[in-house]
Amino acid sequence: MDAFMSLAHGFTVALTPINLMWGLIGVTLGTAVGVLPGLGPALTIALLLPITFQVEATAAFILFAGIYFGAMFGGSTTSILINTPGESATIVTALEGHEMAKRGRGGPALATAAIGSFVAGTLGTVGITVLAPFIVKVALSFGPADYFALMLLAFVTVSSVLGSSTIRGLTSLAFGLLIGLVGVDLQTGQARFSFGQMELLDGIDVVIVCVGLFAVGETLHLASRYRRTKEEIIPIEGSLWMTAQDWARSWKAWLRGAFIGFPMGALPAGGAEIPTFLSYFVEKKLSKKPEEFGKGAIEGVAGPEAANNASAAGVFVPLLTLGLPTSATAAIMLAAFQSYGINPGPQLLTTQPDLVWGLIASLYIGNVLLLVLNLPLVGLWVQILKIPTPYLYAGILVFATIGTYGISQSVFDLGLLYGIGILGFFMRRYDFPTSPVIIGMILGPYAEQQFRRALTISQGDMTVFFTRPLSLTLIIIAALALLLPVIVSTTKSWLKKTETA
Amino acid sequence: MTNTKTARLGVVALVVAVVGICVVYLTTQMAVPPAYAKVGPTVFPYAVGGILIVLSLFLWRDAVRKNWHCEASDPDVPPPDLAPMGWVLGGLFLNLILIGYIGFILSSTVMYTMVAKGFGARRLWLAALVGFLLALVAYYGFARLLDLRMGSGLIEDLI
Repeated sequence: MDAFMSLAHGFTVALTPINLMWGLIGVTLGTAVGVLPGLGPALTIALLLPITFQVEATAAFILFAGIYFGAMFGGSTTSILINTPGESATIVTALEGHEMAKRGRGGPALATAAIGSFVAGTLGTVGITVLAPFIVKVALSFGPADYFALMLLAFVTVSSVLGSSTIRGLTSLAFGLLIGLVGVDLQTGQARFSFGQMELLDGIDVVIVCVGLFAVGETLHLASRYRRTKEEIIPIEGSLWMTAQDWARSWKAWLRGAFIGFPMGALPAGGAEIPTFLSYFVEKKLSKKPEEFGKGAIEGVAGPEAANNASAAGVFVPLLTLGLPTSATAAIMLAAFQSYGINPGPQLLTTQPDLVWGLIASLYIGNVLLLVLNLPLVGLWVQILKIPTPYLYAGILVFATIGTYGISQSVFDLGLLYGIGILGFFMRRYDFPTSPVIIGMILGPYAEQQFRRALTISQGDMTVFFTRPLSLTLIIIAALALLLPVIVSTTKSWLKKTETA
Repeated sequence: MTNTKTARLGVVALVVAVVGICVVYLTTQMAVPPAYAKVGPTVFPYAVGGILIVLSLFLWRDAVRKNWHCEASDPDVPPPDLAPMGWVLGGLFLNLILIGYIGFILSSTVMYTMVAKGFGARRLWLAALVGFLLALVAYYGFARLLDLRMGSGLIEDLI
């Protein structure tokens, strides 16, 4: 197999001492931010983006991927022990995991989460290894019109998946697209929405938006309600070892979770939320003891955790083969590619084999490191949960300040950061999802570029998007994804009306 | 859901509409070279502005039909706790004003202390000390590692 030859080469890249060190730093840092409530992988990678000026691309991406995977592992520890899911993807883990912890079975809950994450993360990485070269072959025939249609589909699915309302998701996305438009248009030199401000001509830095929404906004939101919620860390009781029965009940859930999570992560639909919920319901349905669900059923931790990590791996497939980010973290990684002047897309596998295969190999290594870090050392991570809230959140704001002021030394940028933070607070209050903003601002300029390229080739003929079979298919799917829920709900209410009439 | 809460949701929809209208208006003010008249730099801005206006109508509909469930409309969620928020916002604002004059380290210490106060820290001198040390370490560790230029300031110039 061609892919496995390339993968072997990737291991020679990833196993050099220096890259191994970056991987270790990444997974350690990732676990820490995953454990700490209020910090996430997207925010951490955004704060570390300046590192792209210092180290070579392969090392930086090994670091970023380590943070991404590490945060997935660390997040489950927090949701099991204090029932405040750091990310939406771990909500389901908290359902059963926290119940297990309350019943003195915190140890096995952490173990099945960590081992399940390892199994699914590894299976997911195998999935990337096999699937990526295949998708690249298909993607090489994509024209600009097809790419535009693909991005349109990603916009629609991302907005409807990452939140509770498609309308609010799309509004967030449109704000992101608007932020992405600010600055000089590269094709014509036309300044857009810069209000004559020098600082805005280069566009708004993704670091400012990401840190503003995720760090400042989140801190304000917590400040508005921390006195009214009580959090309690449950100490880990009992042994970390799983009993034979725990193993028997877990391993099938891990595998099922992985097979649900990976494809859903790899689709341009994005988000780990749906696969985790799906896995939970599958486990509940298949369980021989469904009455235990809600009272600490181990399958309810094993399956969703596996689905979560497999879908995290799946996100790399569209990112590395099509340059299509389907989560906020992936969008920040795309920004890192930009910073290196690398254009992600199907050519990436041939032009940057060291980078891509080194990165994939580092995912295998990272999974092993994470299992070691998270199982025997879990007590250590629980310690960092004991950082007092005032010090933790004040510290997050200091780092947010460094991350933006340090790049530009501009008070204007700092003001923008805090302003976006206040916007982020209102978005939380009114339930607008924040990830589509990041995806919109990063992917928007690419979509515009492909749109204009397609129209230049067709000499301004708009029908180009509807005459190419692939682009037409993607646009139809996007339209269906957008309209189906509306059609279903209006037909339902219409049927109700005719019934009562 | 009370009427004031519905009204608040309506205001959010209105804000989205106003932003959309502003985007469309600003786009009409752009001078576009005729060579790019067909697929120029205004196509996307018009689209985004238009989409925002359309979405604001849907948001309005959700607000009126009380089909918009969020913290701000949930009767079980208490209103935002203003005192801690005030401390945090005050810290951010002071940092914004001071950072250019007294430098990152001192102004971050001020912000750190105020945010910690907002989150209920009792010993403020300890918070100030921790904030100062964190800013110092961050300045010399994080900033140097990433080669960020944090600028000068009272403390920065001493070392």
